[in-house]
Amino acid sequence: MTFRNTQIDYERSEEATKWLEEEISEQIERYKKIVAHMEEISEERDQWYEDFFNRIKDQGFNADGDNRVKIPDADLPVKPEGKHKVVF
Amino acid sequence: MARPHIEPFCDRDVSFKNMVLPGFGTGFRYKTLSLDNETGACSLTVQLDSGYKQPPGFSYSELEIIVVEGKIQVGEEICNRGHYFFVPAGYAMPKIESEEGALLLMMYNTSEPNLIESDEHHPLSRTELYHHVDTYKDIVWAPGNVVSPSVAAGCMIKLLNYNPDSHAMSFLYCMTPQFHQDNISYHDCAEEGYHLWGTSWMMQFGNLPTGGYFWRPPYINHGAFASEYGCIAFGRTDSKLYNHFHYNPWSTPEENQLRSAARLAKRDPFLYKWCVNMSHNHPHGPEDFEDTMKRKGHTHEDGTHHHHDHDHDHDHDHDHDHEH
Repeated sequence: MTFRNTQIDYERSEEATKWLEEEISEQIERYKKIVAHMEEISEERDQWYEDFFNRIKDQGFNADGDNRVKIPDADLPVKPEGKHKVVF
Repeated sequence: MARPHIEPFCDRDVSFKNMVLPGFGTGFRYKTLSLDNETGACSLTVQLDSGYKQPPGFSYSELEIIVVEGKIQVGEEICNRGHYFFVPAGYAMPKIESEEGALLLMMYNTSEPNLIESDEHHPLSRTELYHHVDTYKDIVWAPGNVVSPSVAAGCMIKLLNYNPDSHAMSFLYCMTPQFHQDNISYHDCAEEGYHLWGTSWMMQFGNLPTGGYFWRPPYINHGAFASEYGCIAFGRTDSKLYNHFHYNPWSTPEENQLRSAARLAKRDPFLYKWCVNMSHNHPHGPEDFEDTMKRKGHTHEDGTHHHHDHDHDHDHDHDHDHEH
């Protein structure tokens, strides 16, 4: 996130380098846990997708704000082959 | 690489650690939410213990802070929960104290956390950009339709910071109880969110409770959306927020990115063709003559002029790859 790019260049200390290395290792573990958890809820998510398709058929898809467009069953996407990921 | 996709994550699930980097003193504990592996830029939940005192000082990194719980004293001013600060790099903050303790969200935007004790700003600091506000008391909620296509009614925002060049934003957002929005969204920008209070639900990730967090790189599907009892959250984007809505939960980030480009080609065909055909490969994007044209005042020795809000280093030695 570089909001305004107001960084001032400086030399990173050894202390800061060590801190950063430890934080990177922890972040890798955090990421792995997230991916594993998202795998665990795959079946539940499949049901959420089905519920979503039913709602956009019956009540409509929020195309812009509260403008809802009903999506015909024939227009719904077909689930592709292969593993489905939600974390990248 | 930049920050990885961290979503969903809840800071309540991990413990605070003592900050070991110099300058922060004792009583400054933190949880890392996300981190840029190269620059060290990071977002932290910070617990200031009761009685915490920090001397005046600046960071080499740009910094954003919001008080989540409790209160802090900044100089002579008491800042309660909901108080937001945008602190440019090198801006010397006065002493910071917390008599009863406080929970903060701190975002170091351009480097790892650092604090240089000083009661003077760094000479290169763009001090004019500093601002702070009590977001709960001094700003009213606005409808979420600041962008089009927009979110559904019941999702509202308070804009806290805006970059007129990149259109990056920092904002509070809330969802009213029983909010729901039945579409899937992705953006051309990275997006970050932290739940100050309450729970929302997203179809890919499930519930995000109080303390819930995400750092989401561009083009990743999220939504449909709902909140049973409502929520209030802090959010940021790193460039223009455009809602690409659709209803295919299986589209990949690569397919989403292609769709964005296809939509650009349909909407701005001449610009798109120019970008593709001319193969302009300037490292910072094409030149904007308003940034570089000769002006009557403020012209550099080499004849160029740079806008005061220009966002990259003044480096004229980089290679250009123009194919004509």
